[in-house]
Amino acid sequence: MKNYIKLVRFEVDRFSKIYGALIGLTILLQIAAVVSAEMGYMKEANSLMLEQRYTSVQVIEHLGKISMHTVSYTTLFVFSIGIAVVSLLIYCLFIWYRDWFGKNMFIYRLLMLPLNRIQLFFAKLTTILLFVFGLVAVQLLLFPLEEFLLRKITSAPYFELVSLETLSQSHPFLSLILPHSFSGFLIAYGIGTLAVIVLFTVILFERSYRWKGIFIGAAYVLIIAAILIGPLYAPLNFLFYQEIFWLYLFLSFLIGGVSIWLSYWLLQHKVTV
Amino acid sequence: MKRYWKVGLLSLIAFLTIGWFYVEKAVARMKAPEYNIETLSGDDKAIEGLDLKAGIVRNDEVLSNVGISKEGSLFDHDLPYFEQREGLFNVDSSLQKLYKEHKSFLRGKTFSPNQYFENDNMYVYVDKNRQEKNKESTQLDISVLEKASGKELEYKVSLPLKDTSFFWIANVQVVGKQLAVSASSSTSNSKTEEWNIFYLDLTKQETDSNDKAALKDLGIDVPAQAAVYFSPVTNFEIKQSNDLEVLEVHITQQGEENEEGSVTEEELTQTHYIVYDYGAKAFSVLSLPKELKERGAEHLSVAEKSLYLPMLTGQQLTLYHTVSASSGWTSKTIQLPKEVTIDMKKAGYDTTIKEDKLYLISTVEDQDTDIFVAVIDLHTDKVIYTGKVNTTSEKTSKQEETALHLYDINVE
Repeated sequence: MKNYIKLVRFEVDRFSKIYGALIGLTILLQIAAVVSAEMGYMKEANSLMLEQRYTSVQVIEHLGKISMHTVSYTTLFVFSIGIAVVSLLIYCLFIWYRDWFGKNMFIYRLLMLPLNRIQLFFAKLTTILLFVFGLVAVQLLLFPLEEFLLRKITSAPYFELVSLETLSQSHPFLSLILPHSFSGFLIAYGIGTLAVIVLFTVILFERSYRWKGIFIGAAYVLIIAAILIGPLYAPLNFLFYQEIFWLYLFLSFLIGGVSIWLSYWLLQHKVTV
Repeated sequence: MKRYWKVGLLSLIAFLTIGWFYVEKAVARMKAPEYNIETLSGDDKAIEGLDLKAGIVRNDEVLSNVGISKEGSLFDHDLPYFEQREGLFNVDSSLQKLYKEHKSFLRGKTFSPNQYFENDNMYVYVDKNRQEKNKESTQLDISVLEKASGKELEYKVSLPLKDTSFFWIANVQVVGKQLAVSASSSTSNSKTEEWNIFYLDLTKQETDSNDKAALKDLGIDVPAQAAVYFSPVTNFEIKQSNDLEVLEVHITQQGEENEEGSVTEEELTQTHYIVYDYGAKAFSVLSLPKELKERGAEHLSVAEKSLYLPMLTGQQLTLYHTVSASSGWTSKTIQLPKEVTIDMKKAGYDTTIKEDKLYLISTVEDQDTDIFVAVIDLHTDKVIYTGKVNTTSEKTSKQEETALHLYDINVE
């Protein structure tokens, strides 16, 4: 356990500067999104008042009020979430390959450590999850600050308060990263964790068998896809939601278990430097 | 230990923030506003079995669904998790009962109430066979569940419809010893729909007869290039066996190709109403009272052999009534309390008729309006109950402007 925690600390430290920069970029982009949304709204409101002689009530009737709902649909806001998601997806690959590529092949030292090699796997997985949850937490903390900023820079009659709960229920991206219910959160991040486990297994196939490993990995992904898609071809409504849930939970544990076992076997017997 | 501060901080922030978000949600849910129906006049026995289905709406988005009755309110998230996910909240109460008592019968079936029929002895489910590829006929799969024995029986019946690309079952009911299936259909080479009432003999597994809505025979002129669409006006319920079925017929002129090669939208040219009488096994044209010609049959209700059309004007409810399509409408006016009608006029209203009682309910509760309930006895034409939907949330202090929108009235 001590070794595992050490490894997690080690992995977190290695990416901390880039991760910090990613958080900084997210904050900057989202603040820019708030300011630009307010400027765009007021520009439109002013033009309606000047050109069409609208009163503020008519402007609100025409444009609606500005809220975090408006901000969350701006390109900058969506881009800030997108860039964080894409960065972490790339890091899922980078977290393994950086150990092989570089001046000194770090994997050599890692594999020589007197510990069960599967701990490397779990340490990397934990790091990814920590970074993901960290970014979700940043988004949660940012939201009230952004709302505060929006309220401060917007004239009172045009501002509307929207809770994060309301927003996370309907927004296409926010509802994915912050599901409406805790059960939804467990399901969404459970699926995400399973996908990372499978991806790690595919990477280890490639690291173990090189070119051949890519094909084995691809075949492995296809088999998993077939297992997961198969039940969807059952006759219409044949399974009740409860049965579908338990079936997919079982399949997820099966796929996760097999992937972890394969990764263990590859790390112990096949991975070479 | 100092070396672990980054991992420690990251874990702590992630755990506490995400935990706080979901704990706050759970607490907010526990504090969710309660709704009830406050009696303003009359005996609340009049609203026994009344269940108002409404959505809590903000910016046109439904945040949650709530059922409001005499006993209080029940939110969709109050249902057990799997029942919520199955979408049982908005499902007809007969189907909810069926799900709890005979779940296996529902396997492979939809939750569309119009495809079910229930009486004291059995449940019937009808669906189009989705496997058959026979262009010469359309096959129906019929499942019957005998309530007493719990025995499930399966039947297949071919309908005299060829090459159907669209087939929609609007209503199923038992008429005498036959099963009547009311359905709309169209073929792959035509947009025009046809409406049929099929009478099935389950013991022989064949179609006994079918009555087609032949518009020409009813005196409705359909131009050569026009398309015809049907939509049922009658609200079908699983337990209900109506003597009459009312259909709205839309005749549209198909779009024309302009110089740029794009086709203009279809244009609605005529709207008619037709009635099917299960007793006489015949269609006839229904003429609306002249006062309602513009508005159409929006609030039309069927009760046994009667058709009712309520219309709110000022403080009065004018109730139009007819017993058959050809006999003409009679009307009577019923005086309603002013406070009830103001909000109904402002926000709109919905009606339903059950066991000689007309339920008249306004549809929106927001900063300006309330949802009022009025029950009228159709025998005496008296208002026997008025009530108001009350909430524990404060309207004036709400920062987020939410509204309660009524979308369905159920009476058990």
